[in-house]
Amino acid sequence: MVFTQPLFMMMILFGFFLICCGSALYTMEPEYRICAGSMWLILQGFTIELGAVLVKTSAINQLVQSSKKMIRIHINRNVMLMKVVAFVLVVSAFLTTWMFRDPFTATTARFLYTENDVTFVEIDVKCASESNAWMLSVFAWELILLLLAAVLAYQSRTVMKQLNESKSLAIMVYVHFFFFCIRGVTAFLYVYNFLDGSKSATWFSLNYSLDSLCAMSIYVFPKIYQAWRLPVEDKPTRLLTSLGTSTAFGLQTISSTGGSEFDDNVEDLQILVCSANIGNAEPTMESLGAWIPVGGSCSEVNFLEGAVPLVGTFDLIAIGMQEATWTPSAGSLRDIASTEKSPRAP
Amino acid sequence: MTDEEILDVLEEQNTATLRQMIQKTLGDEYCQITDEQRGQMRLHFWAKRSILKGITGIRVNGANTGIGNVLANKGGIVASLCYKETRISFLSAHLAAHEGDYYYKMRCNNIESILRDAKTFALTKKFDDAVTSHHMFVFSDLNFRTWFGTESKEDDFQRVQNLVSSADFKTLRRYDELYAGLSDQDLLVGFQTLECNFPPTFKVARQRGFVYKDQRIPSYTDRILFKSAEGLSHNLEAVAYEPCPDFITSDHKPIRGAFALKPNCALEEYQIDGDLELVFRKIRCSDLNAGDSDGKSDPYVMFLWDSVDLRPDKISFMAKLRQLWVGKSWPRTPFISQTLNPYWKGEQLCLRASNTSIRHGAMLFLAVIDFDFVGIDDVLGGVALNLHDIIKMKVGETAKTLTSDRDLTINGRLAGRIKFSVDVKLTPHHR
Repeated sequence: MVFTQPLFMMMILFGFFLICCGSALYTMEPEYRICAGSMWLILQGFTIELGAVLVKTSAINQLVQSSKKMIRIHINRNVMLMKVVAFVLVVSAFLTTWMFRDPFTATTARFLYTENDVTFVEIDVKCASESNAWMLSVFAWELILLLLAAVLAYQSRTVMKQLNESKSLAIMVYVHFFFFCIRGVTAFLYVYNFLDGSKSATWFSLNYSLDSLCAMSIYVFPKIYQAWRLPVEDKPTRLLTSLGTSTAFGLQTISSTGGSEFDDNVEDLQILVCSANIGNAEPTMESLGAWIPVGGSCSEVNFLEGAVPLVGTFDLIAIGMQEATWTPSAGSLRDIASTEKSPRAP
Repeated sequence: MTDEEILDVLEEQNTATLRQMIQKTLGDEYCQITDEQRGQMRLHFWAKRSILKGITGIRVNGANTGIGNVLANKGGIVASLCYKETRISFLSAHLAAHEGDYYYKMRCNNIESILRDAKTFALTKKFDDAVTSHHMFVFSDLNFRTWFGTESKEDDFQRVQNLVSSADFKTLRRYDELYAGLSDQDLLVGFQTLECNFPPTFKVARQRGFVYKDQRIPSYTDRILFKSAEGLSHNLEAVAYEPCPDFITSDHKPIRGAFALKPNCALEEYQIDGDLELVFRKIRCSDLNAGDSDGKSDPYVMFLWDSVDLRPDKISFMAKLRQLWVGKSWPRTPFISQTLNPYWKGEQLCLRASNTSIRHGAMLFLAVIDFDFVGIDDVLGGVALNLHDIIKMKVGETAKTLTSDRDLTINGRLAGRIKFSVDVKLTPHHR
């Protein structure tokens, strides 16, 4: 089971929703509101979707790196949200500038051609700006987001499996990249008039729709399916891993080594270290009881002179054994040989 | 069933039997948190259910040192865990048997091999667990013998018998190989063992009490050693160390040791409200091991840290590239060619931290590494410094300079020395 963070999942889904809306607008008859609206929806959708993925994955990577160093870090969800908002604001500023300086609107191109001595005027209406630099900027932005996601997917390859999304993230990036390349080719054909406006709009719309659908199939739907299949009692309320124990993965205050809940009233850890060379013979309960204190009681141990005796029971008992295998009697061996492999003890 | 399958079943039966017996002895208040078997060696951890939530990051590794370093009749299992910000490692080892200088050296080499091959530290594999652990225990049948340096086994046997009869364990300890080895720093540098104020635990008849078999010179083969990282030794107190004479099913008497450990999170932390600057300079090493076939090394010093948020003052372009690729690049000095006594004259390395807390478990590791143009660089030695102790200042003090001269160790053995000066500067933030 891969844990997820509902708020970020909602943001990712919202991003996909915007892309789908934008791609639907693309197929409508071009006019300023349609052209500008579709561009706003698609670009902001991509930004929100990939921005949320990037912020979340980088937070997980940061958390795991810190846990390896036993550093206590605090990840504030509001700060993470602000990062996504910052992405959106930057893109909004870009789109606003674009729409004011060189509106992305319906442009009409007329072509004359003659067929059977009759001259026709073909009118091609498409969404365009005067400068192609704006569209190139859109492609560059998408490419940057994809590259960042690819780097994060690579960096998170060693993250524990409950938080590891590197595989699905990487596949999603590859899929996005595949459709991105097709869009690039479509745009090239469109800019150099190999494709007319309506055909290119259809291709763009189809491309964005399929892109969103594939990405959701890879990244979102499996999580929803797993969450649906997981029985209620197994749902992660506590995450007990090498990161320490933290309450439900809220990414608000995560301690790398156990959290501040342990800082108060910490008592000494009472450790018992036991060692025995068993001598390749099955020990009796009596022998074992002479070695490992019954009930883990500290009172069974003779304390050193001058040492403060421990009270109660030992907290942690490390037991090292050598020559700790033995062969049962011949009769038992025959029994084993005649039976199937027994299940491992729970 | 094939022989192999029968052996598998036997192994499972033995494991299940032991687990059930221990569970029955300890009761339901305890549960097993790890159970590692390697050939005839086992290492089990049992913990009280009430402390389970404090235990994290259990890691287990092992190494064989039997014939050809393949057979698992000898070797060791290392398990480490974190308990409330305290990294504790346990190494249960079964070293080479037999008496004599040749076997003594083999035992020393065995423990070195185990530490080299069975590392559990998550942050880096450059250091063995003896360096990286806040507290470490090495125990089990280490097979170190009572050795008088004579060839007469009968006389030696009788001599030990007499010393045991007169309870003169102090004299007996003088002939114990492990005491001598620790004192001569042949193995497990920095570890200590408690005094064995009891009869030797090997080789005894399978009956109550200590009745020795004359096949072997009675020896303290079963031992418990322990070591704490710099600045943490006062948090680990040994309170019991004893054999169990009523264990009658082996030719060894088991031993057990009890310890009280204060976890790091219970210790005072040092709060930095401002900027902390650590400048390491005048770094020099001496008597390093040779990393190259020509008897020389091309050493550099790498700085790594744990449980603290430090950052290097400047990051080189290469370090940035490494960081992009592997996620982390530790700061380092330039390497110096062809020397075993390098001196980084004029070089200084600056680490900074801002508005953070330095806890007692915060460690700064210095690794001296041999640079190789081809292949992976070899670690020559390392030292762990307690950052809390380095930066701790008196009231009103904002800067100080420390000079340090430390042993470098690798796999429990000495590996030269490192000297350096460190300027500690604290710039408080004015509110």
